[in-house]
Amino acid sequence: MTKLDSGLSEDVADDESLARFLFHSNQYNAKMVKPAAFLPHPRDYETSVSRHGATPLDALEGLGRLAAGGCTHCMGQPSFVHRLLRGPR
Amino acid sequence: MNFNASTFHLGVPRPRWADTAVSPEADAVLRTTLKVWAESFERSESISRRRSRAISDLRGMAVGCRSENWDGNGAEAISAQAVAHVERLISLWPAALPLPELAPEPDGSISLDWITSRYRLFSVSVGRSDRITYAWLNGTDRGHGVEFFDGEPFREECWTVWGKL
Repeated sequence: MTKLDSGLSEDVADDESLARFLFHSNQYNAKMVKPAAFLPHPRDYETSVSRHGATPLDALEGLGRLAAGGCTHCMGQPSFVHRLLRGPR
Repeated sequence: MNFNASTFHLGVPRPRWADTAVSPEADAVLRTTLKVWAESFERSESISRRRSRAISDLRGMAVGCRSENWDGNGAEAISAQAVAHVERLISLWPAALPLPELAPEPDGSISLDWITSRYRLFSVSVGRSDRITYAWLNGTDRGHGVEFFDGEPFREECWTVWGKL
């Protein structure tokens, strides 16, 4: 299986953890992340998620800021496994 | 007559005729009337406060997302038309029903969500146009649709789905 420079495999496994960085407090509530937080961008119909491998969850916020080009108001980063985002095959 | 301060709450004025001598039956009617009056006053004030809070939340969100790229991924700014549509929908929303939670969408629309749990929710997307889209999840059951905002909060089909959740 081909490996990327990061050491992660090129294919995203069903049980691999992904994170979605949130930039507005209205994108989640005390119960859950709201559906709007996962809507694709109308420009390319894609949703950006990050593969974070074994990175500790508390280190993800800093990575989110970097991913957003230095954006200072990353509000959180729900982590979930790939198959939940992909849906049933 | 045994009226005391607790009979009149929330600033409902004590009417002059409340001090006149009346029969026990009339007294009971008077007490009930005042209670209903006070409760109605309290309820309407509470609804008005809930709506004000929702509109304040909406405007705060619009300010937070007034510039493009508010999500660091090229999202469009929340449009003034979407804010106006949502304000109108909130003001028309039936008083007895729960108001939605709001969330910004990457295309500048606003999501109105009624979330019971992660498996039971109803979500409406309101944008620049009068076309609103909705999607719902109820356990393993799910669906979506499109409606046109014509001055009423929802049309029948949307209400039917909403009511099930």
